Amino acid sequence: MSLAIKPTRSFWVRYPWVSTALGLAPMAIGLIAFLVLPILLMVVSSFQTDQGWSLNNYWGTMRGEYLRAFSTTLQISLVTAVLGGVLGTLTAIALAWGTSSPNNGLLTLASVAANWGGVPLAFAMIATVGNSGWVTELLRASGFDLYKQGFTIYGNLGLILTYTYFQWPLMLLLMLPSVQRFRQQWREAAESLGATNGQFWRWVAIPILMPSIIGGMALLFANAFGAQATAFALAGGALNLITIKITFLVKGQTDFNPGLANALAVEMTVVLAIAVIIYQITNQRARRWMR
Amino acid sequence: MTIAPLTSPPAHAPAQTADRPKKGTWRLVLIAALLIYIFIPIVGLLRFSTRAANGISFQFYRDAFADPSFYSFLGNSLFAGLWTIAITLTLTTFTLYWAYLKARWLLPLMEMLSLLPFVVPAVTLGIGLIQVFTTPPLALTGTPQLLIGAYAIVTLPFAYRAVENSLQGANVLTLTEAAESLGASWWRIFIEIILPCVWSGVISGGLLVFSFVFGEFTLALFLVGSSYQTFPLYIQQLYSYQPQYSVVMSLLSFVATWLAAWLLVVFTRGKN
Repeated sequence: MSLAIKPTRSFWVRYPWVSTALGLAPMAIGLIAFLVLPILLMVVSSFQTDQGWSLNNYWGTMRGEYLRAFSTTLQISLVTAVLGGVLGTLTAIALAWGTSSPNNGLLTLASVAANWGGVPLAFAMIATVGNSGWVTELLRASGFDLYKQGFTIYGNLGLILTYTYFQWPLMLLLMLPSVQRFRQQWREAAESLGATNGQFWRWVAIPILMPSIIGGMALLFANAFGAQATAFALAGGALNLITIKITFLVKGQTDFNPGLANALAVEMTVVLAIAVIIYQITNQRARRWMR
Repeated sequence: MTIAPLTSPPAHAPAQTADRPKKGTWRLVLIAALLIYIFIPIVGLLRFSTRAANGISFQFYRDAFADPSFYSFLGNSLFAGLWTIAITLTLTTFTLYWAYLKARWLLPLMEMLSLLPFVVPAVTLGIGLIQVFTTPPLALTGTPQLLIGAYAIVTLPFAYRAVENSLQGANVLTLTEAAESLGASWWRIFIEIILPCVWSGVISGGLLVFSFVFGEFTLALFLVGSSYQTFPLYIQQLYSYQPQYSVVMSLLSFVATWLAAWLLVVFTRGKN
């Protein structure tokens, strides 16, 4: 009957999902080519050796220097996450509960410090607390020799000091929203019920802020665990970290072994995924207080 | 730095701080400690790069900036940065608009992208990418194209945050329907109506992306290495034979990052 009427955009109207899919295709292709495919290939080839499918790469990561690298990376990431986490949380509280609105210049500076890591930061730390850095020489002139006490910027302690440079301001920026949305009425309520300052912290402030603190620390942990540039510029191969080991397994002449690198990277991804899941869960809990 | 206003009591709640006169001290100490921690290494860079036999000299600055290779590395980073901005922001803006319009279920998934850099750090993505792009049909290892492609993916979270913020403010659906009922084509709606709405987000996203690319080291090392040297690779290599130049460049990188952050504040303030 009505076949004579031919709507102009009939195809697009009849199949709306076609235009939806076409519009999303460029992003999907980009993500598949530059994210999904590389990770899939990494996982698949981590289970492969010259002789075919095997777990040999994984056995290789569980002994000797690679096992030590894993435990060193774990320890350094935990220490910088807790150190940066505590300092950042306290600074966020100092900023948000002392003023009506935090200083913009200070927050800009914090975001610069949180994002600026890498090669330049490593050299800045060497110029500061390296063997002839200015703070080292200042202390030496006043009778305290850091390097005679066993400190070195090229060691684990030096790395922790260096990572704190971006972990501390990062935690400040992560915590600021939750700290700002902490209502001062909650403190007043606690006080009018007769709570002391200590009781207020123990039973009100810390329980409310705890999910955000743990979530922030989980992100800091992941941030340190996956970091490579700063450590690489600081000490080259001298630091025994997973990311450094992977770098030399892939780029190095003597240690070249991509299979082992793939297995290490897969293990690292599992650890990072756990950290991010912890962040997600705690973030959801934290939001309950922020409506 | 103005520390004083940070510890003065808020104007709207005088009663709260009135009976706690000594509370301000630890706050001041902590904020000052952070500032000192941030600035001491910068002072280290300054002192190292100006140290001379007879006091202070800016000779290294003159020499470092006179070196022609500096400009070629800077050029490489600028090239990669601008292409990354173009690709990431076009892709993000268009896809986000499309998702708002036709596939809202995608938005929470795209939100998850912002955690991506923590799960898939540069090392992981780097070794994955060099294995995909070494086999002949896709042999791109060592080319700037591969680096730009990787940067475009890694910077998606920055672009997403910025564009999504400004897209949320505009009522995209209503605007699109209104334009459609007046007979405008989809392309025309996107270019003439949606793009002006999210322009400030696009600019902030661009600044974030640029500041990331300008400092990115790991992916550049893995994917292009010596065949396409970017600015951070240059800083790292220079250190072994001309450390003072390298330190001058590190200082330049701090200033550039700070400049990008400051511009970001200016733009977002202008928008509100």
